[in-house]
Amino acid sequence: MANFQGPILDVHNLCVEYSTGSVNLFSRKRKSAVKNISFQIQTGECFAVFGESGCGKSSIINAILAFVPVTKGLIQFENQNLLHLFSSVPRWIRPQIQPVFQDFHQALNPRRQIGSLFKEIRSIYPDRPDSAELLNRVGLHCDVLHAYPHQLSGGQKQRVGLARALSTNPKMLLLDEPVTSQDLSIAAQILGLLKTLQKERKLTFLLVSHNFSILRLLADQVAIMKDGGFLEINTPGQLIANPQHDYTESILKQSGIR
Amino acid sequence: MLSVFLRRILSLLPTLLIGITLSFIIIHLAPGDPANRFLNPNQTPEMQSSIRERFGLDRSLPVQYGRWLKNVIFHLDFGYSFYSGKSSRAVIAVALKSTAILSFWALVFALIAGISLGILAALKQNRFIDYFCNNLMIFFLSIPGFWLGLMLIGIFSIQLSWLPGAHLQSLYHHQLGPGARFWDLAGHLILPVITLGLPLAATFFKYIRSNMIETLNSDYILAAKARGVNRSKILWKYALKNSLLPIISLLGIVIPALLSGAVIVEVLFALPGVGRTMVTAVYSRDYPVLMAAVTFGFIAVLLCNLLADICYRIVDPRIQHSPGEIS
Amino acid sequence: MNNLHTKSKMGGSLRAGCGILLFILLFILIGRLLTPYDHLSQNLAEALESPSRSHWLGTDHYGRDIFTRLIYGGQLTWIIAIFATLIAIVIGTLVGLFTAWWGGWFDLIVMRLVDVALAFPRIFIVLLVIGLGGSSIELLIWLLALFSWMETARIVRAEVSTHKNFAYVKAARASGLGTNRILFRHIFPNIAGPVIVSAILLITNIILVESSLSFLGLGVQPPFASWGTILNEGKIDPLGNWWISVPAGVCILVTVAGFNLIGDGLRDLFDPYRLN
Ligand SMILES: Nc1ncnc2c1ncn2[C@@H]1O[C@H](COP(=O)(O)OP(=O)(O)OP(=O)(O)O)[C@@H](O)[C@H]1O
Ligand SMILES: [Mg+2]
Repeated sequence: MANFQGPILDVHNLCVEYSTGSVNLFSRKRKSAVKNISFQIQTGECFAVFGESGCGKSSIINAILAFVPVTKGLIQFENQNLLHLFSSVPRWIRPQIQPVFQDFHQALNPRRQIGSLFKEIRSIYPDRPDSAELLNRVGLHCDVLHAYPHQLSGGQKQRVGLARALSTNPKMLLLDEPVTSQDLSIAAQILGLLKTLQKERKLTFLLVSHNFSILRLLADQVAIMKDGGFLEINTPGQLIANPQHDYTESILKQSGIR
Repeated sequence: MLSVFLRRILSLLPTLLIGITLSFIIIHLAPGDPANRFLNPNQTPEMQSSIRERFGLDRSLPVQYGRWLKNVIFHLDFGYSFYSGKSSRAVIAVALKSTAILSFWALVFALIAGISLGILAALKQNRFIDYFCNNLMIFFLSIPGFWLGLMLIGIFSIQLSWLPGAHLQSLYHHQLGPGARFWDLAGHLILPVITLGLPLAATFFKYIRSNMIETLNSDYILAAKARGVNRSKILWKYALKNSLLPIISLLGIVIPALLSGAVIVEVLFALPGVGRTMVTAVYSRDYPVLMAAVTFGFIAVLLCNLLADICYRIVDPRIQHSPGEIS
Repeated sequence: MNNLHTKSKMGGSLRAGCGILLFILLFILIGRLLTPYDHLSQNLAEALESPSRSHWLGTDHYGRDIFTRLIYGGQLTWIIAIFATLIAIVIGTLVGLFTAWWGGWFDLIVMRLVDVALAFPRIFIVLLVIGLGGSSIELLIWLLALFSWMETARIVRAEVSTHKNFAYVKAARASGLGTNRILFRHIFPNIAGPVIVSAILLITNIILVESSLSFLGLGVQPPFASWGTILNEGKIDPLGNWWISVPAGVCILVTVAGFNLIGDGLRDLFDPYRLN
């Protein structure tokens, strides 16, 4: 497994639909959020998705974790199919893909101490790293273990979220707007942390954001997303120098890049 | 809009079907042979078998179920009262009238009392009158209906003889002129309506009060205040409308409670309504009447819900059908 | 200023409610030490006596001491109410948790059944079953429970469907925790507030329905008594024999009011708007 060749994540023709509004025995309204998306991520790479709010970025992540029903498509992690019967990720793969969420306010259970979170994970995966070690790694003191989420600052919560994600020894992190709700100095710290972690542990990232200047710092490949579909995929440098679509150009202008 | 209503009515059908099926299941789960429930012990076997035949009890369960559905859905036919021999549909239909009168006036009373006190309390939030109303309403919510009725009867009809404590009308009702008839009915209704209406008034009160306070503190009311719109206009035009509308949807929830409460009140005041008919039927094990009453109650609740929903949609077309509401 | 007022008031209603219930509980639990009488033994020679030094609250038609009967009646009322509420809350919580979690057809069908069950006026269906099957205390508990869990199920379902989409639940799922662990250890503690409030509302309702049934002679059967049964015995001359009909009614009223006060206090306490 360790010397696995080829793309670590292979997404092929992914479609996600939500049922909305009236749900009754006769009719279901559907809204399509992700339309026919394909991409591949190589081991150790950072693949980023860039698009406006509501274009379906988070839906991709939710689809990979099987939190939303996928209507069509194929998702393979190290050549193993993630979309099985009953649409749930096989149990042995789960610890290898971990999310870090956009909204750090909800990312931690308000009624539980931080420590219990790690204890619980270690009760299922006994060989995983010690919680104090993890917290140190993300720059937190181990006093945090006895705190409740509301006693932590936003940046601390975000770091705890990161430590939680790392606690299962994942191969891949799904980062959903990891720093958007932070002020700039904290965002820079966390991005730096992510970068070192990536090198240290050969982590693969799927990064989702609507802030191009943040993407640029980490991403090897960037996909431009609009209304549920990918317009183009390229390196950030190429996108800035040579955008293929008018939309790419205009959205980069809006972000003050071009 | 029309198609929404149609869909709404259509989605009522499965609910109705499940309800009727459920009542069928309950009868057949009940211990003992259903045939025995119609009989007194000294009937001959021949009579038993004729009864079995008449009620179709000799057939297989699916056949019985089919018949049951057919009779209930197309003919509203629940068989004949074991006690009086009349069609149980007719028994319930007669009783339904006085229950409707009682419930209607109790609802009107509760709406008027609950809404006016609720508005008053919200406007005087945290003042004496607010505390007073709040505690009074907790008292009304907590008082057992039958005990309140019992006390009212004791005081106003036995002790003081001001108001009649039983029946919906006097014996000589039919000899009265139209005006006197009205007063006769009104006099008989006062105590039952109060008994049935007070807890309901408390429910409305709580709802209106908290809604009103919330609306009064909402951004757009504060903005209107800041713009200098005058106070009474804010109150009547914005706040009241916004807090009263949801009452319509609350009605849908209140109706089953109203019917349940009516059972006790009818027994207590000897009113010839569905509730009393039911209780009498329980005492005499009159099971076709029991079935008819339960099914009618069920249908009445569904219809009231439908009506409340349609009214609400007409008044406020923005709302969407949400899964998990009574339909 | 405004906020301070509400705070002190809500603390007040909680405290008042707890005080009232504590008093009632003491009365029904240790009250029997105060009376020399048995709640069932009849003494026709002393029938329908008004309150006196030997019978603090008089006697009923069979010469049984009302004070003693109130104590035992209270025990029965409370036992029925507590057990029925517990069962109903457990059923409602389980149904709510799993319908919200699994969603889809299961959710659709179960919630449709809940709609149906809610459309039956509760006392109607209880009357129907009692009419068909007779009445006993166990049956009464089960009946009251089986026709009361639906509101709780709806509340729990609504709460869980919002929490299900919160990141902490997604994170727990992603790290491979089992469904039961997530539902009971992670989500449930966060929705316990609304469940407790609904339990309190439910218990008031169940006490009232049980006493109504007993008052109609269809609930707790003589010679045993709940408060409702005692009222049934006092209905013939409610003011003339006030010592039968008034104290039992006051007991029910005060108990239910106590629960209502606690419910109000708790609801304010858990109200998200009040917190900030
Ligand atoms: N659970 C849901 N039910 C119905 N529709 C949903 C649901 N979740 C998302 N949507 C819809 O799907 C679309 C894509 O949502 P998504 O959360 O993926 O957007 P996003 O790109 O992550 O936006 P943001 O940057 O604001 O987080 C949106 O239009 C949204 O309204
Ligand atoms: Mg998002």
